[in-house]
Amino acid sequence: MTDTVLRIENLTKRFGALTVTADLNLEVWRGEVHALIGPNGAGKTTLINQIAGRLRPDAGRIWFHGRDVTDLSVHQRVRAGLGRSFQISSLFDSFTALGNVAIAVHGVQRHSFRFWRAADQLTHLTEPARHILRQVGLTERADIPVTALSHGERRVLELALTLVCKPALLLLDEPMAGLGPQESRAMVEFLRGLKGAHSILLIEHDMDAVFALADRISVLAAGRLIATGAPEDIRRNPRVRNAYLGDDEGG
Amino acid sequence: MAPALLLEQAFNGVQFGMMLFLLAVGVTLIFGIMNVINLAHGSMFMLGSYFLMQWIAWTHSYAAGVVLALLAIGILSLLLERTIIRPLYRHGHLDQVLATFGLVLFFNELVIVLWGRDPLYIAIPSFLSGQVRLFEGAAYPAYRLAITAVAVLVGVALYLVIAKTRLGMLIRAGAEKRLVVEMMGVDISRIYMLIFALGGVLAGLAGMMTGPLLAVHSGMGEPILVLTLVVVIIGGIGSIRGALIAALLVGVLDTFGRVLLPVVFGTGTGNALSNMTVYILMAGVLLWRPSGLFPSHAS
Amino acid sequence: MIPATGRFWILAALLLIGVLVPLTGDTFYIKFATRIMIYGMAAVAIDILLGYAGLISLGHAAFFGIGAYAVGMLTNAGVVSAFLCWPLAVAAALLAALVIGALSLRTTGLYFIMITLAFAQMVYYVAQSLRAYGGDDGFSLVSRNTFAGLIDISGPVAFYYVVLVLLVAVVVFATRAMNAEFGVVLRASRDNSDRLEAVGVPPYPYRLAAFVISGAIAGLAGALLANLNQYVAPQGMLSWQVSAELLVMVIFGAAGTIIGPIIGAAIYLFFAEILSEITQHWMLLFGPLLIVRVMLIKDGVYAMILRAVDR
Repeated sequence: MTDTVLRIENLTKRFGALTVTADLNLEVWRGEVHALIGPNGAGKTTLINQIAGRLRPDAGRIWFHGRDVTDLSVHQRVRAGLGRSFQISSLFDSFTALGNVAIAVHGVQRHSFRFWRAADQLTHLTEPARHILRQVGLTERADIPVTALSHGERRVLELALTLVCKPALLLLDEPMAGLGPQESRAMVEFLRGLKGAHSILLIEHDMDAVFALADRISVLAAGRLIATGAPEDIRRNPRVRNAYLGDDEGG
Repeated sequence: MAPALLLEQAFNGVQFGMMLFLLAVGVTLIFGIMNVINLAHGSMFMLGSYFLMQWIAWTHSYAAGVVLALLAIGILSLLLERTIIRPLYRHGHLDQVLATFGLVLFFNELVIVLWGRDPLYIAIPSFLSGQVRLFEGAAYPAYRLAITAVAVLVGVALYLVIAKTRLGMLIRAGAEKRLVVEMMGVDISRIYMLIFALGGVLAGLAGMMTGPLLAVHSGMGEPILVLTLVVVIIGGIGSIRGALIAALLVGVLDTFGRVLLPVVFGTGTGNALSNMTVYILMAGVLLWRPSGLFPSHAS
Repeated sequence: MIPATGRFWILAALLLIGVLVPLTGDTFYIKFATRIMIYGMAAVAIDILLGYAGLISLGHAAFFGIGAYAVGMLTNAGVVSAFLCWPLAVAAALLAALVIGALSLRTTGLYFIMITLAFAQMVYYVAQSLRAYGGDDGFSLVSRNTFAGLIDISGPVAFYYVVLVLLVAVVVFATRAMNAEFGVVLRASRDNSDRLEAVGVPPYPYRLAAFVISGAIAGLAGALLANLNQYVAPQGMLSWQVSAELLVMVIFGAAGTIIGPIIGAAIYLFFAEILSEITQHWMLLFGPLLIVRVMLIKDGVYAMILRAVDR
């Protein structure tokens, strides 16, 4: 029996008269890369925001490792093992690359109410941070202010921040956004390397990346799930072609 | 407590509330739509009083004084928006606080230089100086009724403009989606200038009408401004309906509190408590609804 | 090891000046310098919130004033010992900051600014209504506080040094705290609150702690001011102008530097002193000056000095 890491049950979200998430049911299995695709405005980021806890759904429940997390706050979900990355790189602009990752390390410890020793001297913060930077290939850029990093580097750092707390489930919102072809290939390889250790729910427009990585694909259109299955089945599914692949080939 | 006295306090509360409403409309629109904090809003209230007093002295006519004072406040508001407020949109709240604080300091000193430190008095116009018989045994000052009526009329006019005209639609849209308004080809800075001037004129109007009831002095605008902020917090930034309901709530609560609490708790504690009533109300609303009773989506 | 950078030498110079001022023997200057240090301490309190947590409080006069009133009330009630009075004054300010902060920090942006202002006004009005303590006129302290005979602060010089020591202690604490994990989280919450949450750190407890610490320091400054003037009144301590003036001092000096605000306090008070010699209507000049400074000049004086020295 497959192990379900995330289960979304009848999730519904309305903004005024507009229904952005319509009675959605979805599962992410342990160790898989589950891609979420769909035309712009389908409600993918809104769904991620609800899973991550940034938005409260109007109806439905969210189960993480069999536990109902629907009423937990964002940081509580993170500590339970639910990490997310942002579509637009969301970094701490007055810090360096190392500083940014070190901040994420704060999320691993119980609290940060310490007032005396200088944080940049604390190895229990800087060592894990350097380790992550090595993992993502940004060691050279450790002491550069993030505002001076290239777009691609910021994207990679964005992902690095999400990995610090070793989340069991990664919610990745278009990690490839704005990357050039070489950077995209590197990112795909990196994500492939994360498989197994992490389960991944991946929003992406880059179809090459999706078909290279995904074990299963779910298709969202107008807040509704219109198909779920193996990549080849999705590729051949006429409803999907209708709703999506017709107007957004290749990403 | 005698019913006539209660009724009188109720009317006072409504009158006070309507004055707060005039001020709160400006604040809620300026803070809510333009996302600008303007501490000098109280200065417009104060200058309204001073300008009225001066124009009456020069023209010997109350009506002319009102018209000219409104004009002067309007021109001043437009000037301020153009020169100081407009550049500040980009600067962020801290700079807005500090710069408008500078304006407050300047205006408070200016009125001292021009009119001296002693509080001054505006006479209630003779045609409004009587009392109106409400019912058996209850009489209420005509002037207070009149200014309440004016404020209500202004409120109705505002409602009609906001709800029924194209300009009003643009203002409401500006609260929700600045970008949309700009896409429609409308110059958003024109709208902002109008809103700012409107807010200033309403504040000045409130000042002109309240002037004869208080002593006109430097710094008279700030206590009223803080109360106005409380009203806007309770009502919700960006909501005129919220401003009206909250203003009436605050006006009536404050008035009754000042009269009843010293009776119940004695002058010492009673006076201290009556100073706290509206803030306790504000704290209560915040616990229940951190964005106020009728928050606009823009905030 | 302390690096011998430009900042170090500036601090050393300031400390040296600080230690030497009383040797001028002029009571007026000593008292003036004491005032600068007291307001500087309050400005440091503001800087923790403004320069690090990115929170604009227009209501810190409340904690400043509560500290002052607590000392005044206790002293006149017979509790003259500073060992009792001052901690109690700080505790009172701390408690008020806890309550006001817990409520205010549920909001952000304009709401937060307005709410802090509103609560401070409430405290102001309550103080005004205290007939037993002079109402609007305030009241005098029967004496300065005592240190159980160890130090006599009734004279200007001894009091000056006590304030200096406390200011240095506050600066050391604040500097270390802002460089420690606590400060990092504060700065991160200012940079990107959503991202901070998304890495597992809730901003609210840290902001509240910063607000409370800031209120406590402001309360201490208020306690010291009550001793300096031996007089406590709503206008000079609890009015919203005081809150705004503290913000001005921080900006004049440079936000986010801890030292800058103290320099800013000195600049502000010097300005006020000099301008008020020229004319009693100096606010007519100061208001526009402030506007010009805000709209045209980007940096505080301390930031400019640091840049010049590092070159």
